[in-house]
Amino acid sequence: MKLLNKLIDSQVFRSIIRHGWPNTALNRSLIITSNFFLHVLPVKVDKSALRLGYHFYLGVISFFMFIIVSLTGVLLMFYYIPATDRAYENMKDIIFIVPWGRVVRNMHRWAAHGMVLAVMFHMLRVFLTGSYKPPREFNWVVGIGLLVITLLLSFTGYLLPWDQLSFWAISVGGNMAKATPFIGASGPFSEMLGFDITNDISFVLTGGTVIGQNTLIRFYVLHCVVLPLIACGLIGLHFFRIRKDGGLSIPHKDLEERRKNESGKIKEASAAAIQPEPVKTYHLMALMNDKTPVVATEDKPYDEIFTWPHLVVRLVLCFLVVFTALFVISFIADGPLETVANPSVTPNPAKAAWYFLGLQELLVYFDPWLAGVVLPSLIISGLVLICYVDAHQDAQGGLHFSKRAFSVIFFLVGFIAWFALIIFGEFFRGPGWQLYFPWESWDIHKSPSGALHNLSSLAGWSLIIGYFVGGMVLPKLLWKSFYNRRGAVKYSLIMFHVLMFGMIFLKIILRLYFDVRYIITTPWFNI
Amino acid sequence: MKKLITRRDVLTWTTSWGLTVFVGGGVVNIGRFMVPKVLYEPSETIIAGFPEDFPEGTVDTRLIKDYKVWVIHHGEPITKKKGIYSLIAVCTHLGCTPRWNQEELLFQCGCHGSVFDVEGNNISGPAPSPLWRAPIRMTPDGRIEVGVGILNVGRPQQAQLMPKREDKQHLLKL
Repeated sequence: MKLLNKLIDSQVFRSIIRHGWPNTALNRSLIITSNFFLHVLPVKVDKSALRLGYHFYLGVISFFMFIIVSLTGVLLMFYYIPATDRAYENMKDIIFIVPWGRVVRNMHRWAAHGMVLAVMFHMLRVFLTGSYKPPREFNWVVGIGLLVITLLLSFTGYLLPWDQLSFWAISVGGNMAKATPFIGASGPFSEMLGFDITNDISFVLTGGTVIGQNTLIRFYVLHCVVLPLIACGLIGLHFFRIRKDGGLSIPHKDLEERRKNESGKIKEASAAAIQPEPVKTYHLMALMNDKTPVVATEDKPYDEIFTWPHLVVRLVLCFLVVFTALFVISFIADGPLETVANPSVTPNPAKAAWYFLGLQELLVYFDPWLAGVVLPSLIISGLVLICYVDAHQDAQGGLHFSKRAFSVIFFLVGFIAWFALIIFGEFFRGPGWQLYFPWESWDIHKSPSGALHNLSSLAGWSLIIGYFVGGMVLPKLLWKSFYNRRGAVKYSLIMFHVLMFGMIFLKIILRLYFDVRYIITTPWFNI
Repeated sequence: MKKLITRRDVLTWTTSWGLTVFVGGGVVNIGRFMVPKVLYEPSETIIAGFPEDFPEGTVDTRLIKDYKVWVIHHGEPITKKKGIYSLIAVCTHLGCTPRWNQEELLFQCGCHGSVFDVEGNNISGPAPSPLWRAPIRMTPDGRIEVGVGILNVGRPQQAQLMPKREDKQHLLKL
């Protein structure tokens, strides 16, 4: 003990860590503010912000998954060579020869899947608790950016093993890019702009007209350098904004309870003619006039505890749980690796990674430029808009279903539909992308569905125009308060996204029950 | 009152336009950097063989492995027309390789369930257009030369046009 104290008091130790053991309030503050790695955290956090049942640590789990993916990824880079004739053999080396290579590779794979899942559910939690509302709108947008980057990281990593699964997933992805309107060779309107397969977006992305060496090195650089750097930047911004936007959101029930107690305290105090204690005793920045940059706009009753040890202990525990779970899973379950990529044989069925199976399922009903480009873009723009078309900015810190009924239902239907399509694509699709139930054998031959027909142009156009005009006008007449609270711009933005979402199901019904191929056909595009 | 151009105006104008050109030029030229100028892709034309190698009424799948083309000779039982043509084995939907189903006389794509008839017409599934025709011609020594590789297709939209599919370049009349 004496030796330890002497060590802590030595000049060398003091030059590294300038404060004493964190058992006093001062040292517990200093360990946060003077430590490079911890100073992203506040010195004190609200007790309610640590509630497990409120945020489930999903954001933290996503971040830890990113850390694990980065570390295992660097380890894999020591062995992996991005060359078409060596990549697959490197994978086999990593799995069968390199000590712990199998586990490291599995951890990289499962943590990537876990990160996608954690990010999606983190978004669901933030939505349901209304935590994206002012002043946190921009951080919601940054979060959507991180969701997209997470998906792109997974997608670019998918090609690197150079097996059948990866080759055909990227082949399909590259061809989806080719269907982009205006800048893809087979997308609508690209011909007028002079794009063909030797200069369009897919050519730049895959580095040629076929998936080959150029594609592999491009995806390798994107996966290992470009996208991780963007992700790091966005994660930093995301964390920074949590602090600047007034900390983690707090359950509104806790706030109300505290307000009640506080008003009781004030009554007692005024009866005894003593000044009540200030509710928040700790000031983040001494130079600020107010408590923190944003928090002070509304006087919230605080109930704060020191980050060290309360939050730090929870973070360490969370990391250990995530790491252990991933390690155990990686020890038991191997990440998939099929036979080496073969451009002349497409596996049947060729399924995309699970998080894109919902989109692949839509490809059955829509042309690639819609299913692969327009609909995903609308999902992203719709998610971004959520925080800017919001009508009840005060409904935070909980579900507030009576105020947010419409947005909660729409979001949940979309979220469930996304996963329902994924489950359908994963378990109900067999050879030839035919409908096979999970208990059915894929050996049974199913002949492709019969001939489809297009709606006549009169029927098609009147259906589309009637649907959109009716969908825009009717809700305005039926629910006047819904319109009045939002105004023309927000209302039409919301309804446009709702109607496009509804159109997916309209088209699915038309296809399944009426064998309709296209609702409208034009020389440039078909819907 | 006469409006004077101050020194500040000049500096603001040149600085903002200078920065715009600097950033814009950077973006455009990094974009140019990313477009490959040389492609190390498979050879563009191959000698498929003598016409006798492709009997009437058959779909030849021997070239699929290396060159991703089918060479098809019209005739019973697959069609009632005449001539040899070649289809590029790239699904026009999202680029998977369809398989020739000899029992049903159809090309079937496993990725999203597109189905094409023997002439490459998209008859079912999500494929938006027929399979592309590869250019085909007879060399002076009587062998069949096929332009393989997607580069020969040019603009996909044009390749779908019916007259183009039946012209001299895409249908070898014997």
